[in-house]
Amino acid sequence: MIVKHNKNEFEDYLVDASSYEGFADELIIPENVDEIKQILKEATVKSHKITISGAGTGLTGSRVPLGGKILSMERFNRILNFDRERKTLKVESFVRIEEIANYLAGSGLFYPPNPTEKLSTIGGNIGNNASGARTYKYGSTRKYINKIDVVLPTGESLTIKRGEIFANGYNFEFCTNGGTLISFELPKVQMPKVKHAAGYYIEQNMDLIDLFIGAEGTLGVVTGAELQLLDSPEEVLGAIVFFDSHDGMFDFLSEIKKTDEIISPRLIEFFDDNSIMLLRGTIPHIPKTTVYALWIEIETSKEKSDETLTNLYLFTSQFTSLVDDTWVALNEAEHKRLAHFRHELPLAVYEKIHQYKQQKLGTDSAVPNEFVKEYYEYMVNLFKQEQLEYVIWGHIGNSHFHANILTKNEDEFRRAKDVYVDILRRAVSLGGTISAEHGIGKLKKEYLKILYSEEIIDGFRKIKEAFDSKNVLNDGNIF
Amino acid sequence: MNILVCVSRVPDTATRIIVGSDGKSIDKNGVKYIVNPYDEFALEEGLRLREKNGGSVTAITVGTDAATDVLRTALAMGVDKAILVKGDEPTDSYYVAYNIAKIAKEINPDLIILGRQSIDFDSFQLPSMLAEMLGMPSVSVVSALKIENGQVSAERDVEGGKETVACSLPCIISAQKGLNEPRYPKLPDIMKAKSKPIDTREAEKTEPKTSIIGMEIPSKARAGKVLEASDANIDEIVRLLKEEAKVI
Ligand SMILES: Cc1cc2nc3c(=O)[nH]c(=O)nc-3n(C[C@H](O)[C@H](O)[C@H](O)COP(=O)(O)OP(=O)(O)OC[C@H]3O[C@@H](n4cnc5c(N)ncnc54)[C@H](O)[C@@H]3O)c2cc1C
Ligand SMILES: Cc1cc2nc3c(=O)[nH]c(=O)nc-3n(C[C@H](O)[C@H](O)[C@H](O)COP(=O)(O)OP(=O)(O)OC[C@H]3O[C@@H](n4cnc5c(N)ncnc54)[C@H](O)[C@@H]3O)c2cc1C
Repeated sequence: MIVKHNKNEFEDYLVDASSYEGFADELIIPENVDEIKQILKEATVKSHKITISGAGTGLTGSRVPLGGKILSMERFNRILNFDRERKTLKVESFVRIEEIANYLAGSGLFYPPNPTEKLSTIGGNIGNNASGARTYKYGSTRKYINKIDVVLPTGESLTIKRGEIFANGYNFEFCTNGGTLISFELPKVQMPKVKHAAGYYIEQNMDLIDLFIGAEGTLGVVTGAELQLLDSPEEVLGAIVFFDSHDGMFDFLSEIKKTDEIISPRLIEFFDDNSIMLLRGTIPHIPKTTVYALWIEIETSKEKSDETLTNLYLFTSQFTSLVDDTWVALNEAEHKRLAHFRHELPLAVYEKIHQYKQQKLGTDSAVPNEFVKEYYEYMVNLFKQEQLEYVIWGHIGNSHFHANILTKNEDEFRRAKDVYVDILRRAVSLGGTISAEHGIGKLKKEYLKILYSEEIIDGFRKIKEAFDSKNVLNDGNIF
Repeated sequence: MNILVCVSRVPDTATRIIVGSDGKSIDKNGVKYIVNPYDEFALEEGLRLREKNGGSVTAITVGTDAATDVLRTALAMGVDKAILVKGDEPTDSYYVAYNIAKIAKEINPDLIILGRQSIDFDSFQLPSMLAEMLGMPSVSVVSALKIENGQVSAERDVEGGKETVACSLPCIISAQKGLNEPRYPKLPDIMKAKSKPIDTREAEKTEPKTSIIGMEIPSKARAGKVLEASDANIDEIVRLLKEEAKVI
């Protein structure tokens, strides 16, 4: 175990990618599970706070400590076991998404969740049920977690294997590995029927593992997990499709969701006109009359690849006169170049925010598919009315946008915040969520109240109490 | 201007390389191949020169039937013609250079562009071998190229700076990153490329100038050694650096 008391040595751990800053007394880097048990047990006895730290790429301040000790998982960085037969991979919690992808390259298997931030860790991904572009076809992190090893705030271990511990209606009753009985009631929540990562996951007769996924580290420390892998498709066709009209893009979107297998994409990512403008800086060759672009990927086979190309061409030509400019990727190197298009954007936006010296305001809301166009138009109208600079991109396949508002001064920031709240309210009133993948953390707590009543949030608190009566672990997240 | 671009088929950079059971080749199982990334700069430069000055671009590769895929990519990017010099899998740079030189003598290009190196074996041999065989000037590792009235001015990266070299056409250029931003292949061009003809020639066998004796994966970086407070003895550290790490 490594302990650092000098603030200079752990400054980096006091922030995350949201640049929200906290404070702490010391940094602890445990090297095995027993040390974690000891640390937590002591914390509960002495009532001092512990904040779990992953890679710190979160966008809601969830790993940022507000006093107490930082528990960094960085030594839990080993890939433990690859079982080709069962298609599973056992990893420690600090293994990064990128390391998993590299490890599996060429194995014929893959781990579907692919958050854009490749340096994020499995522990962090479990923390906020991370999603990625491929979530459109494959769902979020939740679906691919078979088993987790947890250390509870009391210092006891709990191994949860999917399919073993279920709620009876809205009541949980089960024992830790050491035999301590834990029981509690779940609030009767109707979660929005969209991609969703705000507050605890709650469902009648649910699996206990699902409560821990998306709990933002408030219920226990995940030390390791078994991941479910899938067979890699034989071939993947990637494309950036450029649109010269607003309606053309939205019609393409609603129609492509109805097409048969051959062009049914596994991801659909959106770039608005302002994104395109920013990208022109680093990526030449973007057609001049582009209004929007979509990045899509279609799984196909060697045999069907030509047919897929032809079908994509014929289909796309109905919606944009820029069809001949569609960029295509057929191998890994080309796919990386298309992904580059997506990766450049957040960077370009951060650069601007930095330049304006203001905080970033970015939405993470999602709405049911039938409202995607209406919702987008609502946001853009608001931004224009308020004369705010904005850039919108996101996982449009899941009707999930990241609208980033770039403000240049305090006054603009205040107006932007009002607009931001209106946008979240609108999502909720359409049956959507305020956070589809980044979670609540410390920065979005006030917005959780737009989605859930005080009564439900109290119900969440009761769950937390059942595991952590002294409230020592990840205090300040969610509630 | 007639331009010949040499393209090489190399394992994808994301591939995990495993040495085959003979101990001197790559295990091809599960390996995906791509156009050598430096050759994309070569292709892009060829296409830009054609767009500016007219003429045609021919892509050539020496390899087995499997190498047709890199020619299809070159065709999709927009080259006019593609030549596959079909033969054994190349393992000897001289063999590749010899066969390219033979075709070059036939089609008389004004300019031959290659990548600075193939990322599989990194031998850096081809551009100079070709230059020697064809008696042409050659400028390697070029990051900016200007051609006016048959005069070539090529900027090269050198240690800590840039160097500008002049020569006349015909000549050989090898492309460095930064020369340009390669275009993305476009959907209709990829479809058309699938049905474009590929001119296939038989490779001529040559007496190998080099042969592979063995291949091995570099061993993982040595594990670090953590010294405890009690070890913090300067003599011990010096001894370890000298005798174990052999760095001083
Ligand atoms: C450029 C960029 C792009 C991004 N794109 C995406 C995206 O596409 N999809 C997406 O979902 N997110 C995205 N994010 C957000 C971020 O990458 C994710 O939230 C990610 O899951 C955080 O992982 P991390 O390891 O950095 O966790 P951290 O930020 O360190 O922590 C996140 C939360 O998990 C908890 N935690 C960490 N490890 C453990 C553990 N072992 N046990 C229990 N709790 C733990 C922390 O306490 C904290 O509450 C992006 C961020 C950036 C900067
Ligand atoms: C030990 C060993 C084993 C090898 N095994 C194989 C193998 O199994 N399969 C295989 O395909 N290759 C194999 N090669 C690689 C092949 O021999 C070289 O890529 C080829 O000889 C090019 O020579 P070079 O490395 O000197 O190229 P470099 O001089 O490093 O390449 C510079 C440029 O030359 C051009 N070029 C390179 N190769 C070709 C080509 N074949 N056709 C057209 N232009 C080209 C490209 O523009 C490239 O950017 C092997 C090489 C070695 C040393």
